[in-house]
Amino acid sequence: MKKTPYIIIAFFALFLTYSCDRVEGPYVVISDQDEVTVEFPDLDPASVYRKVLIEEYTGHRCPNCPAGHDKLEDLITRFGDTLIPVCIHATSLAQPTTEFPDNLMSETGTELATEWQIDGIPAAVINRANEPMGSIPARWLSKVNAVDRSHVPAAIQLINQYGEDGLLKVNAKVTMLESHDSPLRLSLFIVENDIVSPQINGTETIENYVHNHVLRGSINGTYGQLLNGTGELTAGESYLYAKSFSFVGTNWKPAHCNVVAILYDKNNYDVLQVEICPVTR
Amino acid sequence: MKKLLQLIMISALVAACWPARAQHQLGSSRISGDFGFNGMYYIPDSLIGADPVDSKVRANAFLNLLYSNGGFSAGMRYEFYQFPLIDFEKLNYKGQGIRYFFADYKNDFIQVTAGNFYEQFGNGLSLRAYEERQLGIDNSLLGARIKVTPYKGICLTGVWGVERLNFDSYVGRKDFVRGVDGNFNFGEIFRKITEKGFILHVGGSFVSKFDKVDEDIEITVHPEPEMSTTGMITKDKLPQNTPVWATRASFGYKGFRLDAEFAQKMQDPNVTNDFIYRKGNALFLSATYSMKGFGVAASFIRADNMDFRSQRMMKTNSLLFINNIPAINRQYSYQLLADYSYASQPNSQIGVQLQVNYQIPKKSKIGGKYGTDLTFNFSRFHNIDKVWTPEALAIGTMSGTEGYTSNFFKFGPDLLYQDIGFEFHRRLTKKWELTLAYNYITYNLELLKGHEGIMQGHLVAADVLWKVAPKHSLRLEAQHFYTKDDDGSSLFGLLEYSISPHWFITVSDEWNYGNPDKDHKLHYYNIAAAYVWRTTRIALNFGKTKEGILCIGGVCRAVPASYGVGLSVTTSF
Repeated sequence: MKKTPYIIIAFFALFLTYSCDRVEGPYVVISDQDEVTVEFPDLDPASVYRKVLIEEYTGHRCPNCPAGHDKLEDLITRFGDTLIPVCIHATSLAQPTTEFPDNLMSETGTELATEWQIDGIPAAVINRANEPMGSIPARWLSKVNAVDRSHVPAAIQLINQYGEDGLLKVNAKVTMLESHDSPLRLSLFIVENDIVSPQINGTETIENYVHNHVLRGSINGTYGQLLNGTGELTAGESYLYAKSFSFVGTNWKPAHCNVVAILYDKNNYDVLQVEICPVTR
Repeated sequence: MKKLLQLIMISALVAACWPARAQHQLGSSRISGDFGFNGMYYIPDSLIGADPVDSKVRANAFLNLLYSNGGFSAGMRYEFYQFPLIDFEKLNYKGQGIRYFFADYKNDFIQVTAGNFYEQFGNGLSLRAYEERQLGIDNSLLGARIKVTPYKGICLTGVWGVERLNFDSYVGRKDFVRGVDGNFNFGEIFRKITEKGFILHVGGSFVSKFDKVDEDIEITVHPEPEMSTTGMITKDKLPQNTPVWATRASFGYKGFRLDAEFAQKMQDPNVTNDFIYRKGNALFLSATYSMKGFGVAASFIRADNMDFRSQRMMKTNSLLFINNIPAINRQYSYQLLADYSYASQPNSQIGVQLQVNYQIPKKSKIGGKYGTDLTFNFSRFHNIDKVWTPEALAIGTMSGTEGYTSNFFKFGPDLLYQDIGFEFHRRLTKKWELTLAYNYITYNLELLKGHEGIMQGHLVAADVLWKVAPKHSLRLEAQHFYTKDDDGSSLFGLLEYSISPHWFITVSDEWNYGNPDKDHKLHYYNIAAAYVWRTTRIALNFGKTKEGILCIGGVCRAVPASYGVGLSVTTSF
């Protein structure tokens, strides 16, 4: 029994060493998004159709990539504005050299290429379906056709406000046309057309090659921002979102740029809807 | 080939244990154990919703081995759930291996356990590590436990461990549980208390979980009614250590007994409470009084934000529960009430339970030769009252705020469950016994099952036992559940013939004749036979199981529809 007091003391010492974290409020930080200040026109759900995102991975030192660009333009001709392209310059064949000095790569593009394990180019990921390494141009048409357009899960409305000071404000309104039971993210990309820069084509180099749909970067992070936390999205509910971006310090031409808004499932990356809107009108 | 391999492996496991039917004594050492096998051959049945399964032959099996020598004991359990019954597969309880092992030393003063162990402090409001095999729950802790009894009537317990999560590896886990408990039995400390007929126990516990914070939590906030945006609970705003403390007391005098326990949980924003920072609390009260031929028991429970798990992002079933908020309602074995069993709601429930038992004396005019037992039961549970805090209103969500305030004894607006029941039991003659029961059940389908609406139903049941001859008995059970809600009314009948102590043969059928969908007015029949020899029981059954829920002690799991042949074997040695 002589040990008894020591054991009791040891017990209480153990008790006292137990931590209890006390966190002081405020506990939540509201995201740094801007206030939506525009009026969106009324949406007619019957007029909304499902658009498809094609993210083409390419590079100016890739000999087969011009053929990929041609294939992409064929698809755009075929599907019109229902197919929204984003050309992502990534992999070692997109690295600038003395012969190809322009850097068309972006941090966002590199992250996406890593996520989709892009190795060989040209390759494309259609609607971010689960297809590691993307698919070769010969399969792009069938992949686009495979997207189920018989139902339209959501609509995106975009209104861009661009000022002379080089500040762009993107206003977005996402309206759920169907219920969705997992969180959604909204990504806002800037893509630029009519960039004249060298491109290898087979064995020759085309000095004044015109690059279109080039991903310049993301306005709200590579993976965008969460729209609805962990909750379920209800049909008919709308989400407003606004974010500003400054062109100052970039060599991008706002008049050649578009904003691409991508609404996708946080868990499986499936794209529910995609929309495009010019930076300036 | 794959199925054949499954069969071989399952059979080998059964065969390996089959001869082991006797306890093994080697000097002062003793080896004992038990084995269980529960297998089924599944037949698809699209009408009842029994979908085809990839492996038609499934089985759950386990083997417990225990070695003991004086105060020392050691044991292990091998579990084989590689091709589990579909119920368990849906719970992700799938795998095989030794998932439970321990070594234990005990004398009058101290008990030390290393390895896996089960433990409960008080009523379990702060800690209940337990196993409920039928539900696929095994919340054992892997770590160490020390119990000391420094003085007769005083018991102190300390635990540290990592909770089991199905067959997932413990390696890389970033969460653990530790706790202490003290129990003081004044009846043993001061003998006079017992001698005068009093019972007095006092106890307290403190349990803390550590759950490492790895990432920020994104939530949706609504600063304006039409606007949704992202809110962030950053890592530094998430507590890694969350404790629950609890205090309890029991008092008794002659036929009266009063038990009480109160627990409080500190900040624990987690996925089940929508990441609120409000402290949780639970109160359990129970009073009983009994005298010859009469007994009354009344209980009260209130639980507010008391879902306490090892990992803040876990919300599946009962996985990683550290504590247990008990369900105080009366538990029934009636088949037609199984689907409407009340599942305890640790985050929001307040309710009462009252049961009165009265025995009309034997050899009286009304009581008959053997007496008559009457039981009345009433229970009612609501969610708790909640008023959003101003900060929650400002951002349009409770998440990331204190959440709400609540009037402690006010019942919330939603009725969860109500049961008004009456039971009559009488032994009519030496050979005949009769039980009659009536229950009126109100069940909130939306909050308890995720379906729409409220179910109100009436159950009438009769149970007749006829002792045909010595060791031979026949039992008839008939039930009718009448409701216009949910799946509609059902009839159930069961006939069981027993030849004690070896044979049990049962035939039963449940007919969902009132199903609003005429294609689903289905029969769920079952034929079963069981043979018991010493400590071994072998049972074979064939039939259909309706999709529903299975609840034990207020903890529930979903039961998928199934059809097929089942074999179960249990033995101990």
